[in-house]
Amino acid sequence: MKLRYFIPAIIALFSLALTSCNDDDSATLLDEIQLTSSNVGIPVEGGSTSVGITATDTWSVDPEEIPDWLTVSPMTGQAGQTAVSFSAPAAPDARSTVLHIECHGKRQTINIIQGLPSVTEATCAEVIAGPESKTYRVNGTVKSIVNTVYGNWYIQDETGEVYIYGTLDKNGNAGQNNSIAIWGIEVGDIITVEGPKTLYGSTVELVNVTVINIQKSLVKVEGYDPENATFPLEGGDVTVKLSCKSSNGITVEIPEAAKDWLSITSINGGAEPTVTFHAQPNMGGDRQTDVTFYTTDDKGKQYTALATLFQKGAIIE
Amino acid sequence: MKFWSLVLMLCTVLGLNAQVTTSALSGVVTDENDESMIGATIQAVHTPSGTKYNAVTNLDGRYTIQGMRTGGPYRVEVTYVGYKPHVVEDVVLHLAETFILDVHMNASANELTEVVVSAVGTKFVTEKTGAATNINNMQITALPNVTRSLTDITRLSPYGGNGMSFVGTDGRTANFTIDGANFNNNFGLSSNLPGGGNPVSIEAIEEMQVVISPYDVRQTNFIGGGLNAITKSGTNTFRGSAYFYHRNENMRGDAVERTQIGQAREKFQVSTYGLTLRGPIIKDKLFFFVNGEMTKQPGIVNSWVASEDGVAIPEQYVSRTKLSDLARVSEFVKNKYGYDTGSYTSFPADENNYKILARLDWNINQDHHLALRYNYTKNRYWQNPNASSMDGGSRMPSARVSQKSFSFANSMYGMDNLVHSFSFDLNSRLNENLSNQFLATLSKLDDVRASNSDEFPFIDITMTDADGNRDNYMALGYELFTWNNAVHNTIWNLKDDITWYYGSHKIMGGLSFEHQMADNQYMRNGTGYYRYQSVDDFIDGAIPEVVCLTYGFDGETKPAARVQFNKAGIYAQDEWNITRQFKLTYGLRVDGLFFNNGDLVTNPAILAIDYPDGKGGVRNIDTGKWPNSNLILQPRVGFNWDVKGDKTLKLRGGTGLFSGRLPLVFFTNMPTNGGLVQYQAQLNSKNADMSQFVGGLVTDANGHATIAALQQKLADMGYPQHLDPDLGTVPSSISAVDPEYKMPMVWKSSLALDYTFPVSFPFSVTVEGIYNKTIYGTTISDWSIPSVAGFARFNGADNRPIYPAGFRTGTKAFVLENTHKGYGWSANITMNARPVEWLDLMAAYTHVVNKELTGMPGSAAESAFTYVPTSEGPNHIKLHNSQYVTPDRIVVSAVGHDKSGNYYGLIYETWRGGYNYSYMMNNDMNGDGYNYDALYIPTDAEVANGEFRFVSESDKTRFMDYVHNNSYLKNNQGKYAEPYSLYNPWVHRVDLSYKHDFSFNVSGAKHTVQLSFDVKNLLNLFNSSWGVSKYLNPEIGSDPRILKYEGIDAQGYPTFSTPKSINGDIKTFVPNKAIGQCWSASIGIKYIFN
Repeated sequence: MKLRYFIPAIIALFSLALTSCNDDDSATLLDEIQLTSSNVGIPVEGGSTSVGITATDTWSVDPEEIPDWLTVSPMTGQAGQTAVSFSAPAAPDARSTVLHIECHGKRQTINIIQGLPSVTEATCAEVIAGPESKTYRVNGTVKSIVNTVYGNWYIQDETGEVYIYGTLDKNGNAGQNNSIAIWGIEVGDIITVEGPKTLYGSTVELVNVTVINIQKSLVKVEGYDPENATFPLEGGDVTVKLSCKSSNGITVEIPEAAKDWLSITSINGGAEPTVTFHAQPNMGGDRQTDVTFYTTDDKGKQYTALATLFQKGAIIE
Repeated sequence: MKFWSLVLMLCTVLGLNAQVTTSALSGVVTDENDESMIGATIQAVHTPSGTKYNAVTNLDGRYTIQGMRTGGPYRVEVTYVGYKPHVVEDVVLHLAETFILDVHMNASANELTEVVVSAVGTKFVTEKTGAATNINNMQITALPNVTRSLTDITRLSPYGGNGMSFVGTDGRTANFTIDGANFNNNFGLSSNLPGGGNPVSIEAIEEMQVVISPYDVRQTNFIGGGLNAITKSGTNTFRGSAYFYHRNENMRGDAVERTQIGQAREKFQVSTYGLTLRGPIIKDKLFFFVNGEMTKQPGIVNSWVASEDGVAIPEQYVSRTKLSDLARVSEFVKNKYGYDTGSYTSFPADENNYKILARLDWNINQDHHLALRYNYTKNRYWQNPNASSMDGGSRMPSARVSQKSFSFANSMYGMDNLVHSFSFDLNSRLNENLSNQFLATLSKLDDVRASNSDEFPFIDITMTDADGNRDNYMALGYELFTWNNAVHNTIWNLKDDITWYYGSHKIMGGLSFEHQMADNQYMRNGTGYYRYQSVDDFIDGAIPEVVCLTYGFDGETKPAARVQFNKAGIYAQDEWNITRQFKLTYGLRVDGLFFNNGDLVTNPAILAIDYPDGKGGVRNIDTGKWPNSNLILQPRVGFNWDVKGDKTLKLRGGTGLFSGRLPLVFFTNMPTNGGLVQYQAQLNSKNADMSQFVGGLVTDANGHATIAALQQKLADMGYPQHLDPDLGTVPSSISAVDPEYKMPMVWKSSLALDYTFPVSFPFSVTVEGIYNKTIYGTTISDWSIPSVAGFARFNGADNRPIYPAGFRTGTKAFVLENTHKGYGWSANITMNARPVEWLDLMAAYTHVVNKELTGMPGSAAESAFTYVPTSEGPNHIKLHNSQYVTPDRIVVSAVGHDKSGNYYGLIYETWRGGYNYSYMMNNDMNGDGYNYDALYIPTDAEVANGEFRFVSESDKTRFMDYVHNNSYLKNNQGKYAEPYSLYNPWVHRVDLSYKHDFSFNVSGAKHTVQLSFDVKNLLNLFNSSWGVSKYLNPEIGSDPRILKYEGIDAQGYPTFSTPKSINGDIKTFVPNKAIGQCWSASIGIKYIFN
């Protein structure tokens, strides 16, 4: 009796359940305003590109955002469909900008590019201040090398330093790739690298960078005499042997903290300069310092090389 | 007299009463005129134990007995004045099922002769409302099971085959009970069951049941499936067994496609020893069962050795660390600090597992039966110290035990997986119409790290080599992540069910209460941490580079991130036999879930952050509050219709709401990341005066480097000791839980047809369909990422959004939320046959589809949802195939135990999609900072029209050739690739088990020696290419990332290049040459007494 209605009820229940599944694969767009294109390219030689706007309400482009070289017409419109043209004269260099079209409280971004965009270079300070996950290209000097197998080293420029955690080899592979040796990276080289920023704890890192460009340093440390670069406890001399490709000679810098015990006794110039240092007798514990050698090229660009000097101490713990 | 009866004696098993620890007997008694007999007496005796149960038929002639001991054989006798007593023998009851025994009485002048029939040999028809599979003791014994794991047994369910993952859901969310007690992996840090994966020995299991969609409201706490098991009980006969199972590295294959697998013949051995004992303490009244088992797996965790000369030889596992340095440091710390570093030459790392179980069954009287069960399991394995993670400085490139560095035996850490569980189950018959079950259980499931070291800081010593490379050199001390590293999970549960038989109704009501606590103690650097730049620096007491200590506030020595909640439930249900052919079950369960906020502290710095809510307002995160209390309603309806009236064709089904669980680690992430559970001091020269630590480790008055001494030093230096919420800082990423979050819930509906073939032996087929709709699903959203609506988008066919630089509105905040999106369905056809009495055959094919937003893999909020490939970014995940789904599976099994003492077990499984992959880009195209961008698969027209552009002709040709050769890509052109939808091809596996009992009787007792031989992946034994799964070709990579974004062109269109390895000829799947793909075998010997 009641069973007659039972089966149809079950089937109805199933079909209800089946139709309630919705596969939402569509793109997430604003309801208020939609564009036919939001990544607009204007020809490099000058010209204009048209974009269609469909809006539910009045819309406008913020005039403050529009740069001098760009003309947007019209800059406001009513609900419905409007064609907007973006025009610019011939571009001397590639340029781009970001505009926002506002409609009913919502903002739609539109990128305008003219010419092939180049990757922007950032200073170390900009990398440190900038957002994570973004790829930066940095130009600076190799300050010190931490690990030659994975390619971990420090890059520095006038604004600061960033830790490079991993360098890709020439095939684009990371890991134990001996990348330092493959690229011939040395302290003092001027180098351009590109990679994404990560924050590891408080350390700012660029991870698994691609080497874009290396300029070898014109000055390089070749060796020491004595070989362990260590002064005797009672005071003495260590000579640092260098090579210098610049004809402008070298200058030496001793850090402030070491100036009371370390001094230079002689510098010999030429293509293979040597610098002899003298250390006072050491009454305290072991000590060491990093001395920096500079040279400049004809354009005035500075190159560096670094040497670490040690001295044993009298106090034994 | 015994004779086979053709009379209306139907043995059917009806309904899942879900008394998950017992069974029931029910039926109708009729006379020669087919009229109901009121007042007939039924007595059922469990023959081996003499346990007796009684009942009397009611006004409808119906009787029901609940709470009966599972198994048998039972002897059931029905008596009525003026009729021949009717006896049925060999009745076997199955776990959580009601055995329907309808009896037709014959009037007789001679009351003394009885009618005796046997229950065995009549048509076997399984009849239920929802989907479930019972696995009895014979099947458990005969099934091939090389690793002796509980989850291998679940393969017999058409919806199983993948451990605890049923119907394509996360295995951590399944519900596993033993004797009603909760043995789930509630915390969910790993994917194992408690106790290291096997909380109870399979020798102790009497019967198991896999339930998928039970419409009984008493089965709850899961979405995908549940596994219920009961342990063995004693009987009137003393019985015992002693057993030994063994497998080693020579009892397994070592090659795939004739290619040798490295390390296949390295020492590997698992030996299991155990014994069981059961019997009566008081005949017919009190019984016991005990099982003790021990598994030993000798192992070495460290293959490296120190060097004589300081030169590393990686191929021979020689580390550069010198023996002389290790000796020097070991001597030094022993003399100065009284600390024993442990050996630096021997690293024993055996894995041991101990299990003990004891059970008491007490027939208090005819109406009350009590079962008490206790079990304890401990699993311990050892690991090397953590590879290179540390705090307060830059991590070194090489691991602490590697060619660059070495450590000591006491720096290894152990992992103890512990299980304590207790169950109290009282089944009572209160009167003719009322029966009651009271169940109290307690489970304490702990995973605790262990160490052989005394309390001593962990010391890293690095060394800079001649090339100027700095790396780890030596490590000693109490492993730095081990002190107080534990997950504790305690659950206790009380429930009482009362059942009332009223005419054709069986009305049931009950109350339940559960309290659950999970806490995660994780103190990095809990005993202190120091890093020195050389061995000499350490020995000479130079200034360390880094000093760390994590400690609790206000003297708390065991700070933990803790979540506690109470769940109180009330339920009512009616099983209504509307007619003899139609049964309707309907019920409602209401649970209240109440979290305890006392374990949380609000972090004001986090609360102060305003996150835009997408509607123009702001929202904030309060780390001091768990989700609000809420009421969970689970109504369910099920039916069972005997269409023809002769039990040969059954239509059954139902619908209802099912509420489940989420691994609790996703809750404790909130206090853990809130930063107010404990204080983590991480000192280095940038933030502290390190000269305070010159002269060696900080020690107490006795010269020992204790935690208290270091903590006092830090207190003296001004580090906070008292919990002040204002101390709360904003961590680098925040985890939180939406206050409105509700536990996962699905709406399941199923429909099935059972048909019994008209042949002389039991042979039936079932066709079943199940459909799920997600009511409350789980997802995470990052509140600091704005909606992509309004972002600029690329031009052309792949027009995904472009994330602008600095798109985050604040600190990353991963908030656990609900979603309504998600659905799934499965279709199954199963055949069961018993052609001869001793052989059970089963064959099943199951197709599963399950779509969700995220499967919440792992345990960290960020990786749980940002690693799902998307085109629009992690806050816009589209519904996709779940990563837990195996889309197609066929299982065929033959299990038997004949009268000659042979046990046969054969399982053939074949499945597709055991591994699944997602097609992705090589790099981060949309700029969201996550390298998990789904691939857009262009159509040929889009490529020809310039809507999808490549940087070169060669890239275009190679890519499109690959697309045309790959069936998934070819069939999905014009769409973004769906995550986890590239399935690996079919793999075929056969497992075999053969056991033989050699029995002989000596002075009244039976002695048996059972030899067993189990082989997993038998096909691979014959040919090393068979039985091997295929996985993603390593030339493509570990993920199929087959396209690289190369920037936009002058018209704003993205351009792409194709990695060198991708072309039309490369194979996507190749055989997986790993040891797990080869055959493996185990042998066993068991002595059985009686």
